[in-house]
Amino acid sequence: MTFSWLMRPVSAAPLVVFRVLFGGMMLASIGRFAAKGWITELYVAPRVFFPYYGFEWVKPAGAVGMPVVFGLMALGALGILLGAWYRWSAGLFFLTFTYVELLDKSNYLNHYYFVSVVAFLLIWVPANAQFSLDARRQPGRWRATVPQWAGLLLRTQLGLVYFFAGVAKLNPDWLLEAMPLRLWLPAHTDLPLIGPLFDQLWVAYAFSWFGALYDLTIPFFLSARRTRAWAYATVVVFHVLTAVLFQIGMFPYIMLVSTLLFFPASFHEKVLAVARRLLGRPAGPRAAPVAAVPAAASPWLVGALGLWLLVQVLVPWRFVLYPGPLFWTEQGYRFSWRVMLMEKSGTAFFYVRDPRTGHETEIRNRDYLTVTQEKQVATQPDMLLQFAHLLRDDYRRRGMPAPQVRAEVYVTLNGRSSRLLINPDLDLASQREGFGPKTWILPLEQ
Amino acid sequence: MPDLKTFRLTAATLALALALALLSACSSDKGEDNAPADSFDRAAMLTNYSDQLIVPGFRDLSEKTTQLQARLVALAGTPTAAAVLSAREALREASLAWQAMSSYEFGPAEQQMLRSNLNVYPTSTTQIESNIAAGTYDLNAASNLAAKGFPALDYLLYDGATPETVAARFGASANRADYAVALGDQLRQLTEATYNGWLAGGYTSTFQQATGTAVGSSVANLVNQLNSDIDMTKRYKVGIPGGRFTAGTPQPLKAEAPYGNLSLELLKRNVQAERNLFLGQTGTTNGPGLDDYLTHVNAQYNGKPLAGVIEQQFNAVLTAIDAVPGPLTQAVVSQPATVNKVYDEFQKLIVLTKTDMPSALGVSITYTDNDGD
Repeated sequence: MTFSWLMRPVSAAPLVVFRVLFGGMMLASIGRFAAKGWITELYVAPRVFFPYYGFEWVKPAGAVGMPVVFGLMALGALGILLGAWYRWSAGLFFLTFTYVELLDKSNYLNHYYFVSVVAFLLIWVPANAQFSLDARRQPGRWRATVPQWAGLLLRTQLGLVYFFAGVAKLNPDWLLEAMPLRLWLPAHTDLPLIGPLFDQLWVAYAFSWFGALYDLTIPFFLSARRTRAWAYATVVVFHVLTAVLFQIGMFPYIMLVSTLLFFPASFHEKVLAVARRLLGRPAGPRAAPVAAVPAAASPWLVGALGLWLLVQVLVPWRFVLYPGPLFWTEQGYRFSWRVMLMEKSGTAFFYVRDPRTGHETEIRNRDYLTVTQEKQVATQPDMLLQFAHLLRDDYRRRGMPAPQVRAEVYVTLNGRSSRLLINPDLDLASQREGFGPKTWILPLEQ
Repeated sequence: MPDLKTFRLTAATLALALALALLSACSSDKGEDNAPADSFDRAAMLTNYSDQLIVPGFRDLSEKTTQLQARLVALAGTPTAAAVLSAREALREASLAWQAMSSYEFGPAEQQMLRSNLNVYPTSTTQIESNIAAGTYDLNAASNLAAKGFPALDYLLYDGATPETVAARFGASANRADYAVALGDQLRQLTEATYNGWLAGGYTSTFQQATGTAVGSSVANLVNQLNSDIDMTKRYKVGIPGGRFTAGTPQPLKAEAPYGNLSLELLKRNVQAERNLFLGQTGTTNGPGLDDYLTHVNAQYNGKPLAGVIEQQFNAVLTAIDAVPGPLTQAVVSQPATVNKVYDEFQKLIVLTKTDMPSALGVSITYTDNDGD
């Protein structure tokens, strides 16, 4: 894989089609998000927020500011869709979307992370080479081809998502116990035709094993010409099934569209030809033909993006640096494509103690937290600690000089009986946040 | 032309999958008539809940508040000690009927906002007295939430201790008598509207047909509202008066029904009703309920059936309540250990019903329709 191979000109069509579909999907997602009232519910109404460690300076923009942010985000998505001021649009979309995601880790979803990642990569690839307002305004920017690395970058990123999702499924709960699918599937016995099957244990096992195999192999089957058609058929069945069974919003549809990147250029040329005919647009550049040279790209950019992929390969493995079972401690869980792996829920009782009197008060979590936040706090040690610190600061403000905060947290994980997650006697107010291992998490098997 | 083949195959699969998805989405909220024998019949469970527990329960509540309303009108007409006693008894019965139904705050009950319209306590005696003095008030205003319902009547019918004193106060002030009647009238209207909402052709069929377990399904409503009811029982009926949220300082007047000292009786009826919801039980008749559903999915808790563990924990709460010497307003001060015991048993119960049960049933504890991944 030499530099010249990476720079080899290939058809721009796959990248262009992906740009249009991704922009359209994002525009629809933002509309759906706003229509459901989630801008206010998730980013204006909550009294407190749970920023990521090191990103505490990222603050919500308020009742007026947040809709403006989402408006700018929609503008960015529209710019991507139309290929208008493309690089600025992609940058705007990436920044606004990522800003929103950084506000509160209660709302972390792998597919939001995926969107941030793809948006970042789109900034650097020439996806506006054709079928774009940019190429229409400035015909000199029209390109028949783009360098090989651009499509390769996106396909590799997408392949990593599937592959790591598959690797994450190689654990005893998933493979040997069919957890959590054996808990989730029986809830869908009322579906027509296939419904009754979900009460059968073997179906949960079949789904688990097929799911693992699917995630691990699909990038390779999609890459090979001979298996591609059947692989995509599997993609469709898999994601439609997950859309029917689980409440996962736009994610299945985003993946259905993204996997088209693996299709050959001729497929995308056909799609573009159909789209052009429908819109009554000429096939080539509007002005004088332009030499089919690839858009310029510096070796520095290609090198940096290679480094990016390396980081993407390493980040999901950071959990091995921490002691204890990953699903229980969740140290190194996020940003690793661990999707739909756990049925985990908890009940958390927080207590604030005034050391001067020794008296202890139980906290009503909902006085501070939304339903979603309370749910997340109750199962994730780093958020438990953040909430304890919020309580400490609140009681200090109210005139208690050195409040102590402890939490009794009972958590059930993949069908195990609920048990204490952390040491219930420890004063969380005096514990520090950070990337270091949290020694106060109790072992899963007690 | 492998490419064209790819294109056609892709299109065909997409069409088939979308058709399947649409078919599922359209018919997923229809009832299951021919469920196979080995799968759990959620529709039968829901029918048991609506026909045996919910509809009869709201009918009873509606009848009891109608009776209460009639007694309050009688009291207003002839304010005698006997009329006060008779109104008190009707208040007790209606309050107990409400305790049996406070777990079902979805559908019609949610529309009428029964929890906040019927039973917000501690009641605001200053707001009540200022409404009476003014003679005009809007009982639907948010500012009057703590000046109406059962807690306000508890104050009006019991404060002053003897029935004679209460009767004399009603006799001396037409405004006071009118206020009590207005409160009774609102109780009657709201509970009647809820009962009518559940009657055949109305919400009952909606309830019985939402057989899934997603947010908004009937199973999710039952599980979520049972949990929020247990949570409120624990907090407001026991925790707050017991001083758990005020650094150990008891708050006797923040108990439920502190004037008539009905706190413990209401608490016990409430927990019994929550247990009945869990078991799908009316009286001694045990129909299909959440416990049977847990047994069907073979939910275990430390090697024992989870359904049995939860039932035992309900009983442990009830036993602890029986051990509290009445009235609760005094026990929180003189026998705090017995009240703390009730609270601790509640904590154990809520971990089981809020964490282990929903997890085992694949029901998510959430009230909003957020995405997951």
